[in-house]
Amino acid sequence: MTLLVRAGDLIGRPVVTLDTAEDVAEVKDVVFRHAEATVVGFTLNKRGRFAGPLKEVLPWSRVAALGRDAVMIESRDALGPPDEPMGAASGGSDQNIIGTTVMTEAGKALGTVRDLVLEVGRDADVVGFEITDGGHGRLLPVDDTFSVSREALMVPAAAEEFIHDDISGFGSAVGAFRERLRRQDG
Amino acid sequence: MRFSDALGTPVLSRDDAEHLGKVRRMLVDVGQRRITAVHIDGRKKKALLVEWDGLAGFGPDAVVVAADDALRGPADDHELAMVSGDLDWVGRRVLTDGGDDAGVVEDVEFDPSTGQVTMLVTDRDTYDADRLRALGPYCVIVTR
Repeated sequence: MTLLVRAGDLIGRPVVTLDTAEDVAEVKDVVFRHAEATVVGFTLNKRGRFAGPLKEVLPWSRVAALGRDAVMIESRDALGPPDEPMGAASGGSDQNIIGTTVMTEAGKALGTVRDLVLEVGRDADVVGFEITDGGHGRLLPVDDTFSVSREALMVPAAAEEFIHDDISGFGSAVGAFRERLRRQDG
Repeated sequence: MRFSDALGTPVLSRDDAEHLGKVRRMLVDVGQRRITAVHIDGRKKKALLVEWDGLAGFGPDAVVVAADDALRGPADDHELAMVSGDLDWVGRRVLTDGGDDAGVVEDVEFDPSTGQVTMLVTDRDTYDADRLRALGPYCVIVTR
């Protein structure tokens, strides 16, 4: 079963151990790798309103379950120092991409990125972006081929046709968009 | 029987029929789904525990302690946390092992003849005890 969730909604979500039922941390940032458009893990804050960041991170491979209300891990051992997959220079956090201008390959600016939409199952993949042109947010589907620089996030021109207003039903928009790209390629 | 029924039940000594106090809370081993000890609210200030195995009977009107030397204090940090109320069941949030909210604990049902915990009662649902996974400072975890 998969679940569509905004990356921003994960911020502050408690990280809870299954063995001791303790909230050992909370999500600070979602770290993903552009190349595969996939979440590689989370940076963490200590729990509590004024608690600071934790040095340890949570790699996606050590997440037991990501639910609506908490990120579950088997035990506190799941947290560790940032290593290769998490610290890799190819990655970035959702914060790096927020505010970036979204540009189609046809050269039309669609707005700026406000949030990432993740499809969470066994992996967590970036399947879209919430974009805004000053007004309310709209959802733009992507496949795993979008490219991003400091200046812009480049998406196929066809993506514009699949912009969706709300997250319910966005999953089918992502599917339809990807189907279109496949047909173009074939 | 439920925890809410058991709370306040008088605790008597079998040896001399003396009133030792009242049931204050149950200490549960979640892994074994079993009550390990009963916390007695006595005249003494220090927490008083009696092992489940040291009970002669757990009835609707009284809990009878087999021998007064079955009474003891908290043995470790975990028991200390429990008698301090840091791990009380009622009012504690419930999460599934999938990370979804599952309400708040309202009561726990147990078999007074064996001390076996049989059911978790939340404000939304009930869970058979074999779905209990952990009790901790943040929540109770149940399996999906």
